[in-house]
Amino acid sequence: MKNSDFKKRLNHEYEKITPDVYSNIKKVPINRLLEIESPEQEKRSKIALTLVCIAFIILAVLVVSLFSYMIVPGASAPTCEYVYIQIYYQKNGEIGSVPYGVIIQDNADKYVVCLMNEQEKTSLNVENVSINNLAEKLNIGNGDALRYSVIAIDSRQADDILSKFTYALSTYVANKGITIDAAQASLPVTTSYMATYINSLNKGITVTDTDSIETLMNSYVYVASKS
Amino acid sequence: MDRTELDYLFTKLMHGDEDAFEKIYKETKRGVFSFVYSICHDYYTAEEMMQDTYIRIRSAINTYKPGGNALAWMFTIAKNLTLNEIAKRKKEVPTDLEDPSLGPAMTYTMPEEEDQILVNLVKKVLNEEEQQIVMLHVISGFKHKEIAEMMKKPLGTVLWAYNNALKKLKKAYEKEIGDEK
Repeated sequence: MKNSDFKKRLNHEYEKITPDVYSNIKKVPINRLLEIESPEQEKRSKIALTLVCIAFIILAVLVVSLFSYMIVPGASAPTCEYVYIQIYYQKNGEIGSVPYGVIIQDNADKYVVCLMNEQEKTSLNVENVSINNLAEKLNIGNGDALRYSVIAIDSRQADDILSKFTYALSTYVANKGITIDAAQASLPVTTSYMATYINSLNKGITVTDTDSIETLMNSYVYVASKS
Repeated sequence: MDRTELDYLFTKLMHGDEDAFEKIYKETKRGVFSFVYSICHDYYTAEEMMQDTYIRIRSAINTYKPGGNALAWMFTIAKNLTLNEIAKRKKEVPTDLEDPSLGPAMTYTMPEEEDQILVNLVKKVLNEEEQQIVMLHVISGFKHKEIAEMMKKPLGTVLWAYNNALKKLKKAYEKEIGDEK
């Protein structure tokens, strides 16, 4: 049998068994069905859907955790990562007029100190200076007097920072014969004092009197980190 | 029917010409049926898939790109539908009606016809891939190169499989005829 005859025969046989479904097709409204996906596409879609579900579950767990954390009493209390310590020191019997802005990242052990540039007074230098070395950095010497004050979110935190700061300085000042003006180690955290401190911070920082202390600290740290 | 004419009919169908659809159906029904039948090996499933293929073509005609290979687009739809159906049926949990304890399961068989020697032999002596290649070339008129692209196989493999399948079919057919005589 020739190939062509063979093919004809095959065609003929399939022609005979092919059902006629045209009338059924015509009954079905057009656009009834969605786009078809190949098995591979379907598999990929399923994987993508599974991943989305997993991501959604993780997100839901995170949201629930966060919500739970927020409703725990005290958990949402403001934390003070940064405090501003304003330092004046009396050198050769004269009280310095330049407030040295010092930002201290307070996590009890680590202090990142940002010093205001002594000469230019308009920019900040970021220096990792420990409190122990701070007085040395400021070139405070024998016979000088040091006075400082602390701004923090609340007086309890300010107290805490002040005591840490005083403790850290104590060894140095004892060795150097520096006097700490305890009277100036006040805790001016009330609104009435804010303007004073903001003015002190204004050098190189764009803030307004209405800024919260937290914003102020963030601005200070932002400028410090850029300089 | 050549490819240009088929593409023209598809384009007309895109514009809502139902006569074009009827022409497409008449020209391609044998090819579509034989192709899906070579995949699912069940007459009634093939009939259902053939029907679904044309319904899908009508509903998704707007996704057809004029100037493209209409026949290949059509057969890709047919293939995907059939494979999805097979996969779906594999996942189906048997119901009580299919419980072996209730007797033999309902099975579909192709209607008995006297002139179906080759159709039966295709199913009997060729593997699935060979069946598809033979159907696509002999019944639907695809070129070997197009079949290779559709099946994602090298042209040489397709040609070899086709020739091999024809030899097997002829041999089996001659044996069948000889036995009948």
